[in-house]
Amino acid sequence: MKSIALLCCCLLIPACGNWSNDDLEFLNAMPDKESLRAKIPTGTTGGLSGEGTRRDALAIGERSKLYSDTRGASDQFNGLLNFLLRALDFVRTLPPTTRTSDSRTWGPWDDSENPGFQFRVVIKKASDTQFVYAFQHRLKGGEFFDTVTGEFRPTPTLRKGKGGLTIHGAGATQLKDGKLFDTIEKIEMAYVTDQLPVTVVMKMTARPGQPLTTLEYGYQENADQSGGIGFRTIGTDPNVIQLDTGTAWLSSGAGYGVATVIEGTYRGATHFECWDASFNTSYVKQTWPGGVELGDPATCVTVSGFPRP
Amino acid sequence: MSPGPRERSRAARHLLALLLLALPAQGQDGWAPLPAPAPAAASGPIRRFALVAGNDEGGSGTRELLYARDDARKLHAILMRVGGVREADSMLLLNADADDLLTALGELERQAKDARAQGDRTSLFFYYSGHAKDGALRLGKSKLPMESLKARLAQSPADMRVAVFDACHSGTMTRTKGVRRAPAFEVESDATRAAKGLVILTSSASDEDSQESDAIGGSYFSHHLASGLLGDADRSGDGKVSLGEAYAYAYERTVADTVESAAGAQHPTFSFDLAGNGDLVLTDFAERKEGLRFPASSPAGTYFLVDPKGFVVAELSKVLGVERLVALAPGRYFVKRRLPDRLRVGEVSVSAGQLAVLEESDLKDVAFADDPVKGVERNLVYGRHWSIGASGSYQYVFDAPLSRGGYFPSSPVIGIDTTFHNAFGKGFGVGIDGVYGFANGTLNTGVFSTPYRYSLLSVGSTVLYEWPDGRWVPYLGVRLGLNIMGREFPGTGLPAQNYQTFSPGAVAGIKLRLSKRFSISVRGRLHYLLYNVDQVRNFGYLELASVLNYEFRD
Repeated sequence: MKSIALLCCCLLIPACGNWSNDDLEFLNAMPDKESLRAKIPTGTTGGLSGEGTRRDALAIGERSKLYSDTRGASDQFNGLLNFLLRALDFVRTLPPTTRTSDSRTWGPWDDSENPGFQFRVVIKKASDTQFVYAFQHRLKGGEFFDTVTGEFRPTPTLRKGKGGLTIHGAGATQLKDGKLFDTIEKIEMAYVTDQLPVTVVMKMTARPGQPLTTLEYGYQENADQSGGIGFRTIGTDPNVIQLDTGTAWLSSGAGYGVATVIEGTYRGATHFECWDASFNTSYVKQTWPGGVELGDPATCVTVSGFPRP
Repeated sequence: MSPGPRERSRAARHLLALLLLALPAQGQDGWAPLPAPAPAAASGPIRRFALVAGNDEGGSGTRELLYARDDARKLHAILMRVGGVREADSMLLLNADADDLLTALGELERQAKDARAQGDRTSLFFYYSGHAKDGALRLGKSKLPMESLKARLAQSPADMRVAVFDACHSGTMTRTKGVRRAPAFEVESDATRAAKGLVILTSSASDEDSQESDAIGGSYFSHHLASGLLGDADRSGDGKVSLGEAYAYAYERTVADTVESAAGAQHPTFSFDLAGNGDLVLTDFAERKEGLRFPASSPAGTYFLVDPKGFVVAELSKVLGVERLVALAPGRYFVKRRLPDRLRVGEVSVSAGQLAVLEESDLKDVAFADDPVKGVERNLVYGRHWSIGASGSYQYVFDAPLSRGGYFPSSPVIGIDTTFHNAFGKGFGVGIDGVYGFANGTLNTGVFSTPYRYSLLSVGSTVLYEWPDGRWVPYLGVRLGLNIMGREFPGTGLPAQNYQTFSPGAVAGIKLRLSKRFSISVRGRLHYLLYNVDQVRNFGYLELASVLNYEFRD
């Protein structure tokens, strides 16, 4: 009997690996950076290389300022995504540290980017149709605090579904590369990736005393690779308390944008700008006193779901 | 010039005859031939007992023999059929230890004593094939000193004891008394006083190894002893083989077959401690009339009688103008006679209780290359040798399909293997192998579906037992494999996964020999597969393969 038990042990001990269908379900709940990333046409020549040299004066045939601003903002948004979700790339290469029937935990591990800190990723199955997750850090020996929390409702299509996440500024700002969050209380995101149009919305809430109190972001991607981005800023400047900015584009790159003061002294002031497939301005119209109208409005394209003014 | 074998043989026979005539008469009862030819006053019913033992194993410091048990089986069958031994009066011990042997000997001695008490004359035939070393028979891990066994046999209550030892250095048994390393001895055939006492035959001298032959599928000595007992040793042509005839035959053939072997010539020996005299008939097939008759007109030459499994059952040295009989058991046999430039072969069938007659017209000429029995010659089967194989198979996993939430997919598998045949004794082999499998499919986790690429690498070691006696070679074995499985989900962002586990299983198959070296086989492996990541699950898989083998044999 003893030898049989020993044989069984010998056979059991070497069985190992990360072969798990359940792990895949949990991993599926984590956000897909590629799905959330803002994809703005860039052309085939990498035409934004001159971003830093755009001119202040508007001129037909020059690189569109509104496009450039939108592209810059989307790049910053994508960079923020990378920062938030970079741990995913690391976690996906490793089997969970702890498995329970309704949770998986990766870590805690030392955070090489933030000496003195440890981090872990916890995913729980809240129900058959909902997963919740948290990226957590702690000072070694301390209590874990949330840096990112989220939830995901999967669909039969891998990594597609509805989800949301919140970046907790109080936690993120403790990290070396989280200084951005010194002025941000939290960032909330929601996304729908299982159907077209893919939509991603984000709301950033500033800490009290900041000139910009709220930044809202919306991104939509259509089936024909046309799409649009919208920004809403709410601040303390009495002239421009709320400014809504929206841009839209075709898959060719041609598009248009409009910025409108919604609230403030300049309420109603609108800047409308169209650009061609080379991202050069083809039409500009400003509605405030002294504003200009340049170019031919007939050059402006139309993007479904994003009406022009 | 030194005398040749024939001259030496004649001289020794004369010497033995003189020795036996000079023996003092020590008893009233005596050994009688079968059937007893001695005068009625000196003989009555004779009851024959036989203890036949074969042990392939000799314990530490010895290498397992290949044919000791086979030799014992063969001799036992001959004694039962034509040796006048009743089944109830015989014992066949295979791989038994020393205690078992002595216990069996004691039982037969008790029976012999009872028979004598009832007025029967008795004989005891003791045969041992196996290891002997340092003055002791080696029966597995146990030892039995030869001197004590010899003393025991000398005191045995049977009137006549014949002990045959086919073992290395078995000449130790005959070293002390009456030993002869000679081609023949004779017991006077017209004696009127039946012999009593002990005769010991050994397969080799005390300083010689006893050799086995893959070509004949047994030890040289036992093979020729058996062949002689079946009829070839019947020089007198009376349908009986006496002890003297059997020994002379076995001696000549054993020496002739081993003289050019790497181990050197092997010289059987004999010793005797006899009182009285009389012909010691070991087998009698004159009245049974069952076997194969070679008419006087059959051409001279050496005939090989081969059973369907390829065993050379008997040989016959035929002289033109003399009828010969070989007491074959009922069955079908190949007959083969070697001519200078070709073979003459045929088939005969021996029926129970009947004598088949081999007519020369039943044979046909074939080239050496077309020898119909060469494909199953034992030297091609039982010798230790390597083989390699390439296989194509399908591995069916006893699990739900991955498209319905399973873990491991079924997949086609290719592999290579190498086997060391007869590594631990006749039929026992050990092998190592490696297989690689692959599959594509769709995994359904229950929440989502995703395509995957699956791969399997398994390396394993197998211990198997083959029955290599014919063209079809079935085999069974056990295998322990290390299975390394992996799957990838290309383009999905999901991480690759892997799993490793030891997997014990059983192997069964059958091989068909196509030629001397090539064979094909159908093989099945049934394995246990443990899964313990998400939960502990007990899976299994069945792998059905076709294999092409190449064997490295001379």
